[in-house]
Amino acid sequence: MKKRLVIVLLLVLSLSVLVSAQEVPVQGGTFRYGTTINPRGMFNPVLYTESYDAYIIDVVYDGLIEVDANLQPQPKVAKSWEISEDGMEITFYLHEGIKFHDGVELTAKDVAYTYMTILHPEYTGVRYGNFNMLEGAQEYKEGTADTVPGIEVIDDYTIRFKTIRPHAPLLVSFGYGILPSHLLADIPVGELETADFNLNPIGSGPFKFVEFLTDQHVTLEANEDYFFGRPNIDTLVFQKVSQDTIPIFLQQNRIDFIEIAPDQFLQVSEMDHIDLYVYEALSYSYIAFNMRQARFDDARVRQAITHGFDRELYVDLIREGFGIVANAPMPQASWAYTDEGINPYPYDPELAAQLLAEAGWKPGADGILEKDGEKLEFEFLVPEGSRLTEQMALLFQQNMEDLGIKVNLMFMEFSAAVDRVDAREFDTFTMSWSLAVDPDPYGIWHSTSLWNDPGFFNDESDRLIEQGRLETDIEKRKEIYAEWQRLINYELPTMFLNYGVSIGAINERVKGIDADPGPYGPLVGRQLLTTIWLED
Amino acid sequence: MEQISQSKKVWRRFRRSKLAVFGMAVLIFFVLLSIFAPFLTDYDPNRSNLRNRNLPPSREHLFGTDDMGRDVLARTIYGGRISLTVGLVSVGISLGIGVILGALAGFFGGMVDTVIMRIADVFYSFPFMILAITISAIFGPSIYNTMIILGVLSWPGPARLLRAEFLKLKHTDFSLAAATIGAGPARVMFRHILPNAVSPLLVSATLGVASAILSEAGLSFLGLGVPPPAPSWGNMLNRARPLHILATMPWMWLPPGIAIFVVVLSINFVGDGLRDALDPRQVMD
Amino acid sequence: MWRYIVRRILLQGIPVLLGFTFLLYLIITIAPGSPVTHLRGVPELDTSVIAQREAQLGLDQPFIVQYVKWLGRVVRLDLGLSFDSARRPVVTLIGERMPATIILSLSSIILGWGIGIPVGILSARYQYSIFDYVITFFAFVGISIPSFFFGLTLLYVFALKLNVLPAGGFFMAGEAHTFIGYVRYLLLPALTLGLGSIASVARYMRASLLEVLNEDYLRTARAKGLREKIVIYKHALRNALLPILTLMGFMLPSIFSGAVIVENIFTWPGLGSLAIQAVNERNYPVIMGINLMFAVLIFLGSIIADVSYAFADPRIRYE
Repeated sequence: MKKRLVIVLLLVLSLSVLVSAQEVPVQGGTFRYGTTINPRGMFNPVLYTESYDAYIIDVVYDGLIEVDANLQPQPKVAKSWEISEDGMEITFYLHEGIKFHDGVELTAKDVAYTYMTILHPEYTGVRYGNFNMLEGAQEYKEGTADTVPGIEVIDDYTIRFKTIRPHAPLLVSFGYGILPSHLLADIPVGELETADFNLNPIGSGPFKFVEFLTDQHVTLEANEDYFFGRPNIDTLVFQKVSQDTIPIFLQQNRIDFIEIAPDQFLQVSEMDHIDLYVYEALSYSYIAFNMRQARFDDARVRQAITHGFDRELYVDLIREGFGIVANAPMPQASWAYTDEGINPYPYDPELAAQLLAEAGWKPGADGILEKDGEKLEFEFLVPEGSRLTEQMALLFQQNMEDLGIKVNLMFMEFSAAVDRVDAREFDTFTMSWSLAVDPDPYGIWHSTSLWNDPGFFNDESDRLIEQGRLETDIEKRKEIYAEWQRLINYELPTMFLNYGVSIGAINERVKGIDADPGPYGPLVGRQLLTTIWLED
Repeated sequence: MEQISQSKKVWRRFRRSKLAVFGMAVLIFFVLLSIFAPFLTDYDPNRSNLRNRNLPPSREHLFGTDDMGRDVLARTIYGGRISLTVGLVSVGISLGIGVILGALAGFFGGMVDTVIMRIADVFYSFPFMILAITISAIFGPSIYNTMIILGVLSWPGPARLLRAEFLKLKHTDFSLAAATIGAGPARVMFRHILPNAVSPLLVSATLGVASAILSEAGLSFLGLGVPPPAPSWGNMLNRARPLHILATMPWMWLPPGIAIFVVVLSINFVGDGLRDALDPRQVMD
Repeated sequence: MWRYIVRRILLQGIPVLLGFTFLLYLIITIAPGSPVTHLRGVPELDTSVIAQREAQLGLDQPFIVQYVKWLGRVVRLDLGLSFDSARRPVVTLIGERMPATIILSLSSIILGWGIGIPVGILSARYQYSIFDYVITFFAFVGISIPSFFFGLTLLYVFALKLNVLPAGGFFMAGEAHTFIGYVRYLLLPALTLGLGSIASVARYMRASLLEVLNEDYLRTARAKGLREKIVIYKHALRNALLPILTLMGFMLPSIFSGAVIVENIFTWPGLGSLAIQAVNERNYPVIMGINLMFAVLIFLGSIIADVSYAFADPRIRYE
């Protein structure tokens, strides 16, 4: 009996050794990350706006916190933090001994410099809106104050931020990379955007910047002295690839990771050496109604049109299943997602016809619905550039035609379309929103917001949105947003089309991938770039 | 010997080139195809049918269906309408502007000539694609904008041609003689100069149609040509960009591709034939 | 000759460029769409930023003021700062990508002439033979295929199926820049861009040579008993080449235009993608800079073509 037990134990031991032997990371190698657009060259965390610059910034710099796969803040430069009872004070305690790539230590002074730059009157970037609730920020911005009491350096490794009111989205905003004040403090803030530093960034992150060849690639190398442990790969390259030729680049082993389009899925899935990962993105696409027009001011009309468009067919056939039909503005990838009490608005042309009839729209002599002499005919603005959007628009037009609604497709170049939307010169249009980490919908849905394109002015909605920003307890916030989403789902100021789903193609030589990645995919999350390794 | 008219002589010379005649026949065939399109196919080229996507050629769909389930044969025929119209109208526009400005420049000479030629140079220096992108992006893709862009950007060619004709004849004794007998300037212009200009203009126009059809394809590639759902040969080719369609579903791009090739080929044959037929230096029959 | 060139530049070049840039600036300013459109994608944007940005880019001033300011900078050889978030000098942005476009354009011209001229000569020499018909056929194919289509087909065959050439792009990070490497990356894009040139040069060469071969003076040469070969190569060729030279000057605009599409398909790091991106983003300084540069190059090209024509042909002297 004992002997058998020993044998079993030995077997188990040797098996586990075998298994773990395959799991031991190997150091070295060059990882090639494919992108379809090359970065601009603004590798400065407080001045960048394009996501393609963000790829580089994310690995060159570290922020106070880091967002994980569940969109929750995790310690990084800050080893811990404390939030006061009233939610208006956050104190960060920094690690000691974090060094910038040039060897100088990172202290609270650098943190203060980074955020003071954003609040500076001559700051040319776009991040002020994230921090304008800090105490004294507005006065500083207007030039009536010299300092910001809301940013308090307590000692080299402790810094405190104070706000004038509780603001739940603030904590997650502290992910911005920390700038090295010893290299930048002498440059006037207004001239920061043309500084050489932006093309030769120095941060404290896991990778050091090496070179940037425009429209070709960006090369970075591992930071040997990275505080949290050197990444496994030696060299990281962001390689530009033209959309149409992605499958060939994958086939020829010239890139290790890239996101592909749904219509490339079949071809890439046949490549043995490429694994495919499907993950949800923090985005959704929609069709907006101009509620300033009387005909769209009636919720029944909006609901009818939603019932009258076969969104399931669109996702299944046009998107080849890569998408999730959406009915509320917070995607499944977000912690604020809910489906309780959310009407899925299934495709039901009869119900649609019924709702329209209730709203007073009856078929005219030519089959087109009309009411009080006005025909239900409208323009649908479709920005150019996506085959899938084009196909969706055609399907929408056809579905509407079956209901007796005449839709005139207006394909426009993106910038021109935005112009029309900003000027409120539209009937309906389609676009998508790429969402921030924090689900606060203020910027898009509040009645005072510039980006409230549909013209959705609803007191209850405003109240819930404002409440959601003030509530710092995450469970309570979830409830507030669930209630808000039910309201939006009923009112439908926009028809929600689908939540974004991304497809990542990874070369099988890449190991250590998180099988269940968050909305940023298995490799956009920076911590994964530091933990993966290559096996040839 | 009977008096054979000029145009009859030209036609006879033209007929001698088998290729040119063949080209003309093909073009007429395509034009007829475009005109009688509704009688040739029952399918609506714009009606999508998602459950019938990507079907290979069969009895129901002779050329199969495209990625939106639309009949490819129908789209090819209707696409011909649009591509040929774009070609013809844009050339019409460029000839219209070019002939007027070229005549003015050639006839009046001097300051008028300099100014018009400088303006022509301005239009000529535009690298076509970049300007086309700019204008198309700005004013929106549409059939009309495409025709206008293509037409307006190519007027310098015909203008220069016409002006050259004027200059050629201005210096000859011919117009001096005409002036001597009291023929007025307008008369000189219309009765004597313009007819001679027809030949190079005609050749330039035929080649212009070919070039316009190809340019429309290029614009479609950039998303700026004829907008969906209307088919044009250019935007049909554009739908074949995803490699798996290019490789495994040739029925989607072969018909428009071959159509463009055949039409452009025919236009070039006709153009060559015209050039030979109208060239007064050729050996007379 | 220098007087001619200077006069051409002053009387023709400058007014043309002025008119061209004025028209272009007007078009892009009055058009819908704005350089600050992309700010829409920034969540939590404080709306004062929009007005601030517009002021910073000079967009709040009337068109004519903007244009004159731009012109003033151009005279000092400064093309301004790009409107995008990186605010890099336009001269640098163009300079980084121009060599790639020039290399591509030159290669396609070399291919065009290198293949087109001999093919055209042979075609004329063996007029109406099978060879001639086959060549003519392929030449027509060459000018009838839209370039993006030809390019994709080449990529499919040589990169995907046969895997002998790269799928586009330029040297990968860490790859040594060998001569062979240049050839491998250039071959397909240059062939695609040059296809139209090869075809038209071949046809024009053939036509030009045929025309010359029928000239009277050559009949005299033949009558004198010189061998056919010498007759062709020495006398006819020289005269036949003359019109081809001017052709080069006229081909430049279409090569630059075509490059935009070819660069897109082959991920070639030239000016094409910058140009398209600049138009989409209403990046005025970059749009103006690239177009100005192309216009200048085209203008220079036409001067070179005319001057070399005059050099080669002793009968021509420009007034």
